Amino acid sequence: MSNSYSSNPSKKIISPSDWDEKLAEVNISKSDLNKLVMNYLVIEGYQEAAAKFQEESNTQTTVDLASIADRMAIRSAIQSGDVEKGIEIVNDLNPEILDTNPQLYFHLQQQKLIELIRKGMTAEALKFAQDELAPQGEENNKFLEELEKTISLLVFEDTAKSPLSSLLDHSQRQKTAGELNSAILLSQSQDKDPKLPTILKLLKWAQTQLDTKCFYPKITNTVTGEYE
Amino acid sequence: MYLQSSFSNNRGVIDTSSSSSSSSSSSNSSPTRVNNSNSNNNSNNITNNSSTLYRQNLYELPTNWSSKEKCSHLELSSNSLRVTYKNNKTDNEAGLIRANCCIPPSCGIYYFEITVISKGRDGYIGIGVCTSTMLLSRLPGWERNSFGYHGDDGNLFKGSGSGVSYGPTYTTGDVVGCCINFVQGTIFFTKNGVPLGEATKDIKGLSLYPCAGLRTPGESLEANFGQRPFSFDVDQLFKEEKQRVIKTIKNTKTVEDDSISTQLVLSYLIHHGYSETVKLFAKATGTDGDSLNSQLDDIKNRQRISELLSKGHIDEVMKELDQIYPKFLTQNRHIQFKLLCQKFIEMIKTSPIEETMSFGQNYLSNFSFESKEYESNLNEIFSLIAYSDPYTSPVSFLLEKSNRDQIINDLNCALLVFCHKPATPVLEKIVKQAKVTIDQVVYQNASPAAAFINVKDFIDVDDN
Repeated sequence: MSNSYSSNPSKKIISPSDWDEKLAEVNISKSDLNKLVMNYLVIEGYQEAAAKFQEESNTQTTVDLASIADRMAIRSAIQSGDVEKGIEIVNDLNPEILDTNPQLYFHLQQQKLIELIRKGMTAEALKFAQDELAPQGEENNKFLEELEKTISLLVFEDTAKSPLSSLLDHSQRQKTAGELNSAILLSQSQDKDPKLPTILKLLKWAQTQLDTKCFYPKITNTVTGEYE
Repeated sequence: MYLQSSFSNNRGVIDTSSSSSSSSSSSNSSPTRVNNSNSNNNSNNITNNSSTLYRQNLYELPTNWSSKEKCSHLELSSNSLRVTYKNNKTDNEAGLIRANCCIPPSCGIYYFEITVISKGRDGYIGIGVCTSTMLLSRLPGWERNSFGYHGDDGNLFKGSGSGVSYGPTYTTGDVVGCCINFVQGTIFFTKNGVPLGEATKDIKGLSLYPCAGLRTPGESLEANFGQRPFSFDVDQLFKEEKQRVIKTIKNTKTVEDDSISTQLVLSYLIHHGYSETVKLFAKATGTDGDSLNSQLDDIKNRQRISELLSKGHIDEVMKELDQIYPKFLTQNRHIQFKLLCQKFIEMIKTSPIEETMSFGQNYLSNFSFESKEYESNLNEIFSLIAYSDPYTSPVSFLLEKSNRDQIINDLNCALLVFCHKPATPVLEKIVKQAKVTIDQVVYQNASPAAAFINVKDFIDVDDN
């Protein structure tokens, strides 16, 4: 019955020296860690650092580092409100990304509408909504609903006081830019999230599980790697 | 991404969002399915028939029926897998048999199958799980904390003498499986590879054994505890559970992910002395500044020393060390020893033998009184002198360039400690800590979900 699960109320103690011994047995190669770092640099878009790291550590990546520059250019275009330029670069990169992703395309157009409203270009905003967005809304109820919400911003003289003012927040731009970045990564068969933050989550999850059974040297500060 | 799975009939739509890395690496990096044609004495090879589980060395799985935990009406074959009802009395009593050990929840998901060799007289057969205290004169499911699927009526018994309608009946030639999912706390049965739906979700805290019960003469069953391939696709089930667990982990909340990752990457780059990358990364992340500049000087010093060492210029290495890090060598005598040994080795390659010998006598021989380890190291390198061509000698490995790399690594670590930096980059420490912690979660039985987790899946980068 030694395997009985949840029956032993007293926690076991694993001493620091026993723990160190177990840590010493773990074999993680430097090249694996280098790949992890490369993956982070590439996905987070640190193009120059990634190129230099490739050279200094001799870590290869199949990712075309030039494509990182494109992704970063697209991100900064959208985050600065220039949706048109963002769309242009995406289409240069790979026109299929938007062709095959109507929801993403709608969100970009919606963002463009938001930018027009932000600038107070009411007439242009209305015309753009009618010409470009309404046809998409007719095909999809969810789009229509979102379009209606966005358009209702125009009703308020002071848009900041509108209940939908969050659409005008910088976070809305970031959301749109992030969606586009993920779609580009996906089109290049890359993960859209770097591995490193997930390892931190894994560590936290595992330590939480082990806490129920043991006292052991637990890492509480993931920046310094110090134990509790 | 939602895929309709083969289990949709009892589990609804299952999320198998195929994070490409985890699913593909699981198929590469784990033990292969046991397919043992020799069904005798194969108890050492049970692997729960999965390519998705890790650390199976940390627990024991049932391998056969127990010859002790068996009702006397039952007869067990020599390989302890086939069980037959022998009692010929007219008023037949039920007879139960348990497997040789309980199912460890650490395995995450456990599955076994039973082939009905013969339904005997009436086919009053029950298959399921029970605890160690279940009476051996009862059928699976009749007692508290046992669960059984019965062949004659297809009913499910959950701690009661009366069953509830569950699945089809089964008889001679049919294969019945039982799956225990410790992550979800559920059990379901299969018939001829088809899952029959959730039987219970109430197994928390129970130590369960595979069991089978027979009641009329001639009834005979053969168990498969992973010795042979199963008729049910259990691997698919493992993969789905694995995806669920990974999703749970990815949803774990941690604070300030971004800045922590940035700092981990930066300290890693600094540790290994990738100075140009450090500069660019620090600039891009806004983490550059005075403290970084002093660290960059440090990196450059270490890089220069490493380079000298990799070329075999030991004298210059020691001169640099004395200048930049005074007291380092006196405080790290083992490094000093290694460097002097390496100098001796370099001299063997390039200098006249007399000079080399005199260097050894003047600078190295005294070390042999300090420790046994030094002494045996010295005996080894001094023996190089004995060979006219050291490169073909039995100790020629001492001349290999990889020895320099080893010293570079040792020196680098020692210098970092000397400068009050961790000897291991925090990033590496974290990965190691995660690995050891998960091993212990399995070993200490802290969570069945850990069975599906391998740290390597989390660090492996798919380069397609």
